[in-house]
Amino acid sequence: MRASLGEKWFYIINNIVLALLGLTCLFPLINTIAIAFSDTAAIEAGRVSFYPIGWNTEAFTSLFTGTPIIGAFRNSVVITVIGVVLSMAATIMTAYPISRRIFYGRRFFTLAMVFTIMFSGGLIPTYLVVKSLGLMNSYFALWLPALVSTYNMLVMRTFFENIPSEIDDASRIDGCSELAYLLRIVLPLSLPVIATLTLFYGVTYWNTFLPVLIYIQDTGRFNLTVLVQNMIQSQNLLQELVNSGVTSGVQANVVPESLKAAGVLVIVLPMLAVYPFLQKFFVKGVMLGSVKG
Amino acid sequence: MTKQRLVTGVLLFTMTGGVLLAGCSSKSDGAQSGTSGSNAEPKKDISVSIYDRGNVSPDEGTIENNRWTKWMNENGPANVKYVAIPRAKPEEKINVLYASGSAPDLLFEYSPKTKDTLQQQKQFMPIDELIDKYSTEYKKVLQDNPALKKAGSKSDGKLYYFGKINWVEPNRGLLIRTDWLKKLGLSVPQTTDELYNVLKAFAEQDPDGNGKKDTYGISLSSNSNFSLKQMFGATSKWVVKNNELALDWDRQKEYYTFAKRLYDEGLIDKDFTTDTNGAKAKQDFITGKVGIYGFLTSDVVTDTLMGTIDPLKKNVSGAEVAFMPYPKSPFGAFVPTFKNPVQMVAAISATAKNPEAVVKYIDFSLKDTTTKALDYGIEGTHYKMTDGCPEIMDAGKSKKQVADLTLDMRMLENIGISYNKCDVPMVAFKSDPRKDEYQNTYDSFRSTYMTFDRGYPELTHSEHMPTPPKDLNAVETNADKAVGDIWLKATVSGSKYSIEQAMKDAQDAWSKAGGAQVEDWYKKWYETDRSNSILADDIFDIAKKQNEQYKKIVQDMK
Repeated sequence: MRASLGEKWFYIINNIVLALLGLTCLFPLINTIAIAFSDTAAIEAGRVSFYPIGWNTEAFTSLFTGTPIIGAFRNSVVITVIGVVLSMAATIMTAYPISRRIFYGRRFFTLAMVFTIMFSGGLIPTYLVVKSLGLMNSYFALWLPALVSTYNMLVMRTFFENIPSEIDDASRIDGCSELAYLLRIVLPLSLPVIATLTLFYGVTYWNTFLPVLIYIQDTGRFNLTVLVQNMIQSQNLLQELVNSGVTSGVQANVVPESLKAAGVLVIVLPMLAVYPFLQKFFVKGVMLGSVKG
Repeated sequence: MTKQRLVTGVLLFTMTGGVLLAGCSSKSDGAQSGTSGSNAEPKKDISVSIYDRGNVSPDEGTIENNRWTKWMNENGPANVKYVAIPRAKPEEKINVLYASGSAPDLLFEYSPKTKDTLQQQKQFMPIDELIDKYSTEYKKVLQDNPALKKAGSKSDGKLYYFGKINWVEPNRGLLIRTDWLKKLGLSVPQTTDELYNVLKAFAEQDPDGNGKKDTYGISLSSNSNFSLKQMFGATSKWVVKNNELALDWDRQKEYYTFAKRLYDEGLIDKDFTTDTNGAKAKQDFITGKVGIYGFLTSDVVTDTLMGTIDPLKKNVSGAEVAFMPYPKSPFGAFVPTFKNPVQMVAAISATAKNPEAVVKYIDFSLKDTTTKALDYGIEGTHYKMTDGCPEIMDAGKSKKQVADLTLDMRMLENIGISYNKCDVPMVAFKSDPRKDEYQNTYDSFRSTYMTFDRGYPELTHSEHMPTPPKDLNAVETNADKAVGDIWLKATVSGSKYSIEQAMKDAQDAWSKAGGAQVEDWYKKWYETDRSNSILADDIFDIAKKQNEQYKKIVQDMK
């Protein structure tokens, strides 16, 4: 069916408006990029908006030589990669049994897990548990307490439940065991949900802040979020630097705006780069045609 | 059989080896304590907190393990384990450490609220006796400066906090565009009424001469707003009336009437509420859009001159500025708030196992040789002595290898006592061609604001205000927010919402939120603890003394 003239105009205007709305989400990022590459004087005068003014890469030079950002980046990658693998494995192993109707007591187990969404132990009790488990200053303190996000697990369970039981029957008849069914049938059919949850977990681990702040004592093991937050905060605490003896040292501790922007970029870019690669897994209709009548 | 013998042999070998090693290490320990100090007893283990600002260069290690932590351990009286406290959210980390029983023996923290809360929970130990018994350096500072005792004692009369004497300078100030004044034929405003006229002229008479009405008098955000409020003595909600502490409404009313008028007539940027950190206000000032700018300063030369005045002059040719004293308000003329002369920065945790070693560590960190090393680094490597004053040789290297690492180890340094001719800008920047300009700026800043015939705008420095118990603290925070929201609404609502109505609503909101109990608590505190607290008079006393000291230093240099 061909669109009428009115409809055509509607779509054109609609697309423009939505494109502009989409762009507004991009502006802060573009602005941050512009600031990271701009001259300090131009930034302070507020002349930087969408493109760098007074091209300057000094922020990155001092970021990489003057702060432990490379180490922090490595730490962030370690936390994220291992964390995602552990969390995904645990989530799949939790979601699969409770998605099976034959599993005895699945209602009880499901409710018990949902319970943890509503009630949590609180910061200090959790800290005490982590401490008495000897996890202090170890990344396991970040991975273990948050190993399975109940919400993510429920999403996965629902997805598993929607796999037609005919597939199950068919594979059983062909002599498939429980484990083989999970690995060869369920998981390949669940790529969309696996990609989505990997991304969820990935973003959570990448952005993790408070647990690192609290459980990790060795500053050499901090991740990017804690490091950059520290750098930004130091600038807002000018007042206390007042009394440091060496006058020349005072200004030296002020982090320029461009350095902040550069730090933020280092945090944001990897996640941004990962998105397009996961995109291809968000394919709809994987299930289509898997059941032939 | 042979196998068993072999195992025994290995075991024996390891044991003898272990003994040998142990012998070696104890020997070297002995040698170390022999060189470092008078007593031969082994160094004790203590833990000390240090802020982590995320600015340690990767070649230097980490904030808790670098050349200076090693230096402190080698030369100092104790084996110190440094515990990093992220500067971003210190209270969270500190609370968790204390709640879980893993507190550092010596806690360094600026915020009085964080410290007071812990103190109320009995997490710190009293230090009077410890100082008496084990301290020499800090004891002497304490005896020479009774204010330290006053500020560090709590309501049970015992001393809990270690503190330092700071070099008192104004903490805030106002910059005014004198070239605009000249152009419009105006003079520096002496009263708030005159200030209004100047602001009006700045906004309406096109002082930048570009033919457009695009300038503002001042800003109502952040520090400019704070200074404006301070002119009316309205930054604190407490005033003393008939020797009693009372909640103030008159000054608030007067100030908000003034602010509302500026808003209604468009003399300020009406978007001020979105400028929460004052970045827009600063930007407008350095691009020549605003005539008067209130600032908070850490150091008037490096912060205000280089950070605000220089960029302004670069952006706007012919721009001239001067420091402007606070104009006189109906409540009198005020100075801006000063830097805290007696600042409390440290406490010993109740869980500390070797408190005497902690006290000795503090003493060591106060020694002249220690402070000099932490300030300037190693002579010949980081600084050289010229005319009796240390001069940094390479600023970049010194920042990376010294300042970035030692800044928060020096939290107890008494700059207010040690201030000498080497710290005067003309000497501190002696190889800088602009040193005279720096000196003039510094002197003009001091002489504009260190005027002791004026009143102090608050009851005392905010760090010396007491911390109410937790529940009252929450009530106060909520009540303050409710009242603040009402005033803000009144400021921006034009004729729809009058200041009189707002004041009535604010008073209602205050009493509804339970403000009366907060009032009672503060009143009682003022009644009983006034004489044991650092109030505005004490601040003035120290400031006056230091001002004389400064004048003498400058005199001697001539």
